[in-house]
Amino acid sequence: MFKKKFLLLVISFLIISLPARDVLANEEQSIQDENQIQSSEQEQEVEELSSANRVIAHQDLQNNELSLNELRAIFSLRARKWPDGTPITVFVLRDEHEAHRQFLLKTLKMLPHQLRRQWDRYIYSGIGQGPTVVESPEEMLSRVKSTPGGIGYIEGGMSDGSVHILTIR
Amino acid sequence: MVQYISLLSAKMSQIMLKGLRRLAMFGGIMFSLSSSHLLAVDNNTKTEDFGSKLESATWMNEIKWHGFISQNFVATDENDFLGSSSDGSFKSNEAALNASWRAADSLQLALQGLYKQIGNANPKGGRVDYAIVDWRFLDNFTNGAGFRFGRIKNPYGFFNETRDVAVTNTSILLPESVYVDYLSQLFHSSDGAGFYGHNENEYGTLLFNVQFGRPILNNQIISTLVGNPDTEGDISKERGGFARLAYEDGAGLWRAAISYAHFTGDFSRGPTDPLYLRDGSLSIEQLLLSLELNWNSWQFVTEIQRRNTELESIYQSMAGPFDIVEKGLGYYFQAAYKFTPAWTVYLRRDEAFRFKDDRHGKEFALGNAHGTFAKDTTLGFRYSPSFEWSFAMEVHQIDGTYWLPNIENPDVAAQQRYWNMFLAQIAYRF
Repeated sequence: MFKKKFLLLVISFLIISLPARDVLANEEQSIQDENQIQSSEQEQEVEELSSANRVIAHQDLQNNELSLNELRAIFSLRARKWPDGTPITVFVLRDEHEAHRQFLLKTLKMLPHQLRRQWDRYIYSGIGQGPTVVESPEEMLSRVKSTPGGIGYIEGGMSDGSVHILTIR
Repeated sequence: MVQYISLLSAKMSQIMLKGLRRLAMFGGIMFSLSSSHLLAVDNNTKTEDFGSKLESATWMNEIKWHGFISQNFVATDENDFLGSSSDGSFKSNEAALNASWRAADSLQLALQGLYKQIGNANPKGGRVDYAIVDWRFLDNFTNGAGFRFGRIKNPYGFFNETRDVAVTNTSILLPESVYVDYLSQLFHSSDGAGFYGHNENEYGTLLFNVQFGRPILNNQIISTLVGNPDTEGDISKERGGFARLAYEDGAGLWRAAISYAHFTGDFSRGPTDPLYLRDGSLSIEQLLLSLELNWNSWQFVTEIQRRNTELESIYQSMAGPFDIVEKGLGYYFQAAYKFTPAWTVYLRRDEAFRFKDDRHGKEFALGNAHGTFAKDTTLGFRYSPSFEWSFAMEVHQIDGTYWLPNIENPDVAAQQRYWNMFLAQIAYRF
């Protein structure tokens, strides 16, 4: 008797969860992108060509390139200083912003919810600070431009030469 | 099967519906507050608003503000958990506000005030959750290391430090085998000092934490520790030591950790305590292994914990004082599936045993045999449409009363072995 009811409950949970599939069908694409992380290493070259995001930094920065690990250490907020001693300020768009997800999946090659988990640990247990969240790509560009030590990302098309473009090794 | 009381019994579904309605009302109030910008303190605009008023105080601009608030609803068919849940309970909630300030490149100050209610357990009201001075003396692309002083969250397992922030957890209740809610204070944070460090390598990051201090205790924890709900006794010289070594894959595909915790203290009996209690000392030692895998839209988490409890000369019989040594075991396995970034469904099996060598409590003579174990199957879902908001519901089917708190169920003999629990949660953060 109990098992029947339990089964019923499982089914009702599935029904509750199913509409999410249809309503948020456009999100499926990003889930698929997320899935690509596993195979991304092999397809790195292909992805680099199609990668729309570019890592930008304040103009005074000495570095011209960063390794993927260094970029991850910066965006995971573990590395807090540039080699010249300038404090790093990380700018990101909101979690839900498509350009943000694309940057994490294609450039940083990280699972978005795992990066969020690291940030949350800093923000809510007092052992660090979260990234600075900006509302739009335009704000991203202007904040990185005006913040020494600032780092962020922009989509391929937009750049006016007033920020430093970093190559990711 | 008679012992299984149906989860969807008429009375319980009535309580559940009533609870959900009230929770929805609470959510509505929270939403209108947040959209009227009382709660929604956007970091940038907030600091800029502050800044325009206080242009001279530039350091005010640098303070980052965050906070969270959550309300749970709990209903059980038997037993009480987090309040009088057999009638539906809202006595499980929390609210916090924190500020952090990078005073210098290598110096950070952080403070969080927390209001938290765990059923009828003390303490009620607000408290300082953490207050940390963090000095990082090594900081480059490969290595980082530093010291922390103050009231610090203890490094233990995957979830201890953020257990209070509902939105960051997959499930509403963390697995009780490892993260006992009613003992959370014992291992949650301590006043002391810690050292931390990390090293980046080609594939991921190695992280290390060690910490010593004085855990923050209260009377209810003391009674839980010595197994007497009415004790007026006190614990002095309490000390806690914690160490954790963790490895995290660079892409976030997996992580693993080994954590160790050791708590010691001296117990002195209260004047009205029963005669079988006497002054003595106690020690709790815990070892925890943690592993998490993230594969496509799946996430698998498992943690296994050994707990050794030693009560030295705290009890006495006619023959004189004697020691009690308990070797406990707890573990869980959780699978979660993300339909979309916002929708997660999870299933968990969580088992805890007070005596690892007597898992059915057959040799236990001092109470219910089912008070020595708890096996919990949990099914639930979480919906997080944005960074700020999160909603979750879960059902528990539980065999055993090991982590069922006596404070909610004072008549120990009346505790039921088989019970079911429904939880709903609404949470907001910024």
